[in-house]
Amino acid sequence: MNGCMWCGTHFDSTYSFTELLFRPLKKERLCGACQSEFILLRECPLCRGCGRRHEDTYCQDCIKWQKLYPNYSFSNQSLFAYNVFAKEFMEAFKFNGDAELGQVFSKEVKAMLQKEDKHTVIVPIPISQRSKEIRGFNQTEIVLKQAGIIYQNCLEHIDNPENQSKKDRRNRMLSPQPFHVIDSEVGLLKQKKVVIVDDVYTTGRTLFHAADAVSQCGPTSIKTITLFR
Amino acid sequence: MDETIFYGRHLLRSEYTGEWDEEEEAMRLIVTEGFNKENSQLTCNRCGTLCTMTVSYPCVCQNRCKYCRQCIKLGKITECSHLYSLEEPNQFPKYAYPYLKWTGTLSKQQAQASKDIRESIDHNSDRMIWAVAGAGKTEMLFEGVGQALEEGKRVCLATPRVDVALELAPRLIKAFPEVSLAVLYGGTEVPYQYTQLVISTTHQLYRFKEAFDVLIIDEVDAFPYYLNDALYFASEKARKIVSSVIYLTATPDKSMQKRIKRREIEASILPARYHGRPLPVPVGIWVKKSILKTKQNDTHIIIRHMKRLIEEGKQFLLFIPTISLMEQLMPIFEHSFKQSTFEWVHSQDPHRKEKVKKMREGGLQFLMTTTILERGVTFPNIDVIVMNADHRVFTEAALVQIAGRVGRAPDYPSGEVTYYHEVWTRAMKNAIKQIKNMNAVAARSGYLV
Repeated sequence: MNGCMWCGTHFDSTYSFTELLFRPLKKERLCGACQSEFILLRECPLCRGCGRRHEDTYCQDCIKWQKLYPNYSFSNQSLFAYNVFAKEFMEAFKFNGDAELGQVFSKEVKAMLQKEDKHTVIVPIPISQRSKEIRGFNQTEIVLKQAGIIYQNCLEHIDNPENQSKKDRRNRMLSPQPFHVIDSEVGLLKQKKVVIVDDVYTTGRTLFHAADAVSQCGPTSIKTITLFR
Repeated sequence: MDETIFYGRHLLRSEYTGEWDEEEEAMRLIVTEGFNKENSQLTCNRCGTLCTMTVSYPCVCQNRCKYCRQCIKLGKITECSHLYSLEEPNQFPKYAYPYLKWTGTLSKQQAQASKDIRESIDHNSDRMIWAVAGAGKTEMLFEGVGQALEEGKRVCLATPRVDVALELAPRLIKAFPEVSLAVLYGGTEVPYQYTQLVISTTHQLYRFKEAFDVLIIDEVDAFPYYLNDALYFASEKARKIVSSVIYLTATPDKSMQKRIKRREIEASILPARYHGRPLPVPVGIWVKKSILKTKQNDTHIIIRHMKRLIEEGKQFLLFIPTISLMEQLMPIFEHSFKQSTFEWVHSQDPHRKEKVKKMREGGLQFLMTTTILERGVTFPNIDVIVMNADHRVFTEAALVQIAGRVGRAPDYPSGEVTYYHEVWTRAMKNAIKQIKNMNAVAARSGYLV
């Protein structure tokens, strides 16, 4: 019996007989009720571009992006739907600074990134200096670390006076390129597959900026992965 | 810097919204570490929880720190945090005597308890008030609180639930219209102010340190056992070293009952209700098969009981242990009670308040509920049916509280409480025993009419 990381209720994890025999017992982090609030996107019909729930091939937003970045063959994969519960969860994780909550994603993140071959470079989106001062940690890095994924901090955040998540949609779309690849890391990305990881895909602005910066170094392919869409 | 904010408080720097003057801070404020480090074990100084974190995380201090998950909603405490406080000076304005403007009358047992409370406050000692549901607990606090306030003491009334805190506030404002009062709970938009009288959720007590001369804790039994230690830590920290704590409960748990029996804590027992009628004694009825497993639902013993009550025009509450069971029962009830109006509530229901209000006004024939309505709510004339009373959520305290919903109003002092069960549990047995015992004590003391 253990307590749910989110709601605190005590619950019993169930194990199958084979699990009991052959696998080291892994503690469940969330109770069944909280776990079911996270909607796994891979079980839904998705937009081919940004990976949101969408019946058609490409959603309206992605068609706009394709016009803006015609050379970038873009595909984003996300783990969970960014619903009300997810918003609350990320609020606690990021803004209250409850870093331990990132463990909840470990299993899924690991499963998704292990599919990549071992030469792939995994790059988390950096956070601004300001956020770092307030929060103390980069949530994306924490999640990767908790999942046991090796990553490279190739990108750097150039000072941006405002926080993305406090802006409305229009202002976010207008924000200038905040990222650049750290000079010493340029060689690392050349002729490599690159996976850029972020926590939430909202408009796509952040990820397109990051992909744009990375593409200057000549990688063979760029993919983006986020926890939420 | 507004010093009054820190009087008797225990705050993080980020919780103070005003300007922060480093020099002034060093001169005046009492500073303690966020964590107590002993034998390589970390204990949070605000909530007393032992930190079980195995890894540390990057922190605002540029190093890596562990932090306290238990009380993070009040602001993050890390190894590098400091907590700030100032000694409680009891600087309160004087008003015209008496402070208490309440003019109601107390019943015989209330008057006795009121006297006991006054004495405890006078002697700075602790007291347990064991009063059955419907005994009128708030009124018997008034005299003691009034006296303490007149002496310039700082008084706090803490309750585990926000609903109760918000309900208490207008009653206290009416009783002490001149005295400054603050209501503290998570999510309040009113900024904190230094006041003589404080109504607070028990969670908010973490933000106080040696502040109160009188601390009254309502429904001490409302906590799951694993939160008891945390509450104890919070109340011990929030009270002054010389102070009085009054515990209120309708259903003390085993260890509390033992302490009362051994006279380790002074106790006042109020076995009778305000209207002087005995508590309805629950009846346990054995169910052969649960409704879900029977094919002919309409002839099931519980459905028959419910139909009988609907025919009599008597409103009732139906307690169901879990939300999922409630969801499974819904289609069956919708089929069996097509002609009736009924609703269901649970803790995640956003329309909870409206549904309860509708029930109170007689708009519903019955209300299905989980244990959230077990305490605090009053309906004038109802019966109660508990389904699966042998489920583990129905503890002794819960069952006593549930039975306490019946026969509250002086005009309708009786009603039926039925526990439907497949096996007898100790909780059910003890709950019925406790209620019978209270009735016997009340009869012996001559409180019944």
